[in-house]
Amino acid sequence: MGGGLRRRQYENRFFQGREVYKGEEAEAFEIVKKLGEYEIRSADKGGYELLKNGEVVGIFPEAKIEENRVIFKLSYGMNLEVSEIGIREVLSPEKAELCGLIAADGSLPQRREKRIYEAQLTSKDKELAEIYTNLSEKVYGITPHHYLYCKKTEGEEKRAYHRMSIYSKKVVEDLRSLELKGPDPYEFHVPLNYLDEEGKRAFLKGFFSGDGSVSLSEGGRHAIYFYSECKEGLEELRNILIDLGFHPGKICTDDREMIPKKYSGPTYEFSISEKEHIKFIDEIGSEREEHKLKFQRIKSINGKKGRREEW
Amino acid sequence: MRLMKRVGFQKFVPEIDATDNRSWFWKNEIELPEIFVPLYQLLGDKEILAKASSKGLHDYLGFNGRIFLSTVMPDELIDKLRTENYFQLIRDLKPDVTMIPDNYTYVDDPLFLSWSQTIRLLSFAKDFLELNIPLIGMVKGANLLQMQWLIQKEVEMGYVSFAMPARELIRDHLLGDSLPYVLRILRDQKQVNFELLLYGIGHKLKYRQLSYSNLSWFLEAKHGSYFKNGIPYLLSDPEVRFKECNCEACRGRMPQDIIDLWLRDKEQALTILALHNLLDMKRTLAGEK
Amino acid sequence: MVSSAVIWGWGDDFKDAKANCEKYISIKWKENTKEICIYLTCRDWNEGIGLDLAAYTSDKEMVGDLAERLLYVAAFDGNAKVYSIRLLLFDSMVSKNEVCRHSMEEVENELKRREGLIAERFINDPEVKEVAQGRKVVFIPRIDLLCELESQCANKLVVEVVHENFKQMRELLDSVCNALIKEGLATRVLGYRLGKSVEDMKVRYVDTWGNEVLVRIA
Repeated sequence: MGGGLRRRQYENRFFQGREVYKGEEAEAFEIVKKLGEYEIRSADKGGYELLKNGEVVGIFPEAKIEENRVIFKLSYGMNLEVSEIGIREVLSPEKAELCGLIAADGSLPQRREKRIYEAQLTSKDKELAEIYTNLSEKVYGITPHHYLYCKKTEGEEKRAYHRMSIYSKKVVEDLRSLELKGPDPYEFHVPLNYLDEEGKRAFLKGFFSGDGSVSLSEGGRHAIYFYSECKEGLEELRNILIDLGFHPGKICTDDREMIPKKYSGPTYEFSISEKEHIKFIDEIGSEREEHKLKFQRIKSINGKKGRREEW
Repeated sequence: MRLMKRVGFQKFVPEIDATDNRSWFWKNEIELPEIFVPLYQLLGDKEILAKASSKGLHDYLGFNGRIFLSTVMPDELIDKLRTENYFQLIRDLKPDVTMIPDNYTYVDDPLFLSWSQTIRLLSFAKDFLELNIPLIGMVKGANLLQMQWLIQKEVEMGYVSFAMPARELIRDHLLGDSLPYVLRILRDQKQVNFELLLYGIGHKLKYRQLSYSNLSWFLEAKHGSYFKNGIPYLLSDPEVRFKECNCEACRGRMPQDIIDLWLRDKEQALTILALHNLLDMKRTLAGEK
Repeated sequence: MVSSAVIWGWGDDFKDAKANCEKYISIKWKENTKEICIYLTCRDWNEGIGLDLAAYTSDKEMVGDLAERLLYVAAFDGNAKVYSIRLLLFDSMVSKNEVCRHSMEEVENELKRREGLIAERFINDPEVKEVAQGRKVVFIPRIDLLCELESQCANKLVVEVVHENFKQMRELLDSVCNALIKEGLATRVLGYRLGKSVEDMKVRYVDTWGNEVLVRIA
């Protein structure tokens, strides 16, 4: 406290951003939006200015103007959200989805002696590996390294798992600052403070693509589940579904009969109500191809069922 | 001028949280000769401040070692307190040693602001000479000249023990330039056998012959960091994961055991990890010459 | 039990499974250790079928190798995400209590018998009655199926699958058992059994959908 850069203090504590200049009053500015004590105006030369109580606190090249808020792009997949309530940093949808993928199927391992910092995703789905690559490039401008775990038996098709690794201390520290993984290495958490509604949907989509399941039974019934060994993280996921207007089932333990299970922690799960499957498919969805195929079938089943009920 | 003795810092002086008894390590039978207690935490909780003021910090905490009062605090609080406020608090809380009051000097502020803060700090340093307890001078400044000037004036007043708030300097990559300069200035004061504590650093740095104190009692345990020789590792780092530790906190556990404990009893795991990190820091720094 | 630890989790390098096991065993194996269980918690990627594998051995030198081979069978042949590998050290021969000796026919007959028992038991459950109100009630029990395998490189292998769709469970179980035999981890299937009796089951979710009430039991 009381040292280093004042700008950093303000950014961290008051979000007053960078004070640039107060001059050039002669320039004509168009006020784009007023939100509480903040004002957003466009400049003749392009870009947008953010003012607080009449003082310019930031200049941004782009802005997304919505009814109740304005979004400015920051770096590393972060956005600055300005609303009547105030301002805060939020994850861009791309970054939120990337975080969801890592929370489900990824990790942030570190080998200090060898100075290895890694943000990785391991998946059997080539599509998910490609999604991870695209998101990494959009958010961090980095293309992950791509490794394969393979197993080949005679006469059988080679099967592989994809390990996508971003080797960057900055990226790992950035993701760690969101408290996405840890402190226990197999724990995950939802970065609630950094998620707006769009971000919540994107995070859920990323997570479900990894640790969600869609099953179809012979009778045409379908089930959508979220799973994890981390109960706290699962509760956080369930809560953001509730925030988005869903009514997920309660969290249940997934019991087993085997002796070692008695000495291990349980796995947890919760389901999405069948009534809300279409809502889930439309608003959240998944990046996995097999999920998408099943979603199509669910929509078709529900469509037929709906017509039968009308009759 | 007042002739002062060195405070005699241990190599690592842990900071506790006066409002969170999980950080009162001596309750776990860990021997601690001295601790920092941050004043701003007490100011933030009226009830606890009242209790601590009525009994004194030693009785309130149930601690028999030396208590150093830390005056490092948020800017808004710095502006509110006057000398008489500090004196009253110190009289009531009865610490063994106190820092002189903090100020704020930002490198990107206009110079007149940081100079006026530096002069204000020096004014406090002079006022505090009236107190009858050992004092810790401050090393702060928006530039090297301010730090040098402040140190020289404090030395003239008799200060020999200094604390340098360093967390923000490290974060903004400024410590590398300022610390060697500060050490040189202190060494140049030949009549002084000084001691310097880096305040707000919870793990070992490359600099020797310094003392350290952290800002958070967790010592990075909250982030799952496990200290080995003063350096934080993740619990799952192969370098440490399966290596047993016989410190008073771990008692033969390895980080792998703490990983499992975290799944069953998070609080206990956190306590063991924080204690382990504390003991590791003390041991590592005590072993340095 | 003497000690237990999750020595590998999803996100760790596949090659760390063996190394982590060996490091852990080298420290935790004591003279009174009689048996080690290598326990994998997994879930099939396609249908979300719960899949657990356990190998019991008294040979500490085999543990790392067994763990790695089980990991590959689960991940590749079981097409499953392996959430964790846990090692449990016991001071007695625990695998003797892990017995599954029914035939598949007996299991299927038992399942049919349970259908009636489940309906009888839960139709008057308050949670079900509250929602039923003249609608058709469909009970969807979670099935827990265990399989014991004989092994020459371990004391015993046990596989457990858990899901609502018995046909899909069987397919997965057969696929995993065949892979275990093919990989030389097991020699043959000794038998099966169902876990959890009807008396121990509880209502998990009650969902309404049109004219139906879906009651998931586990």
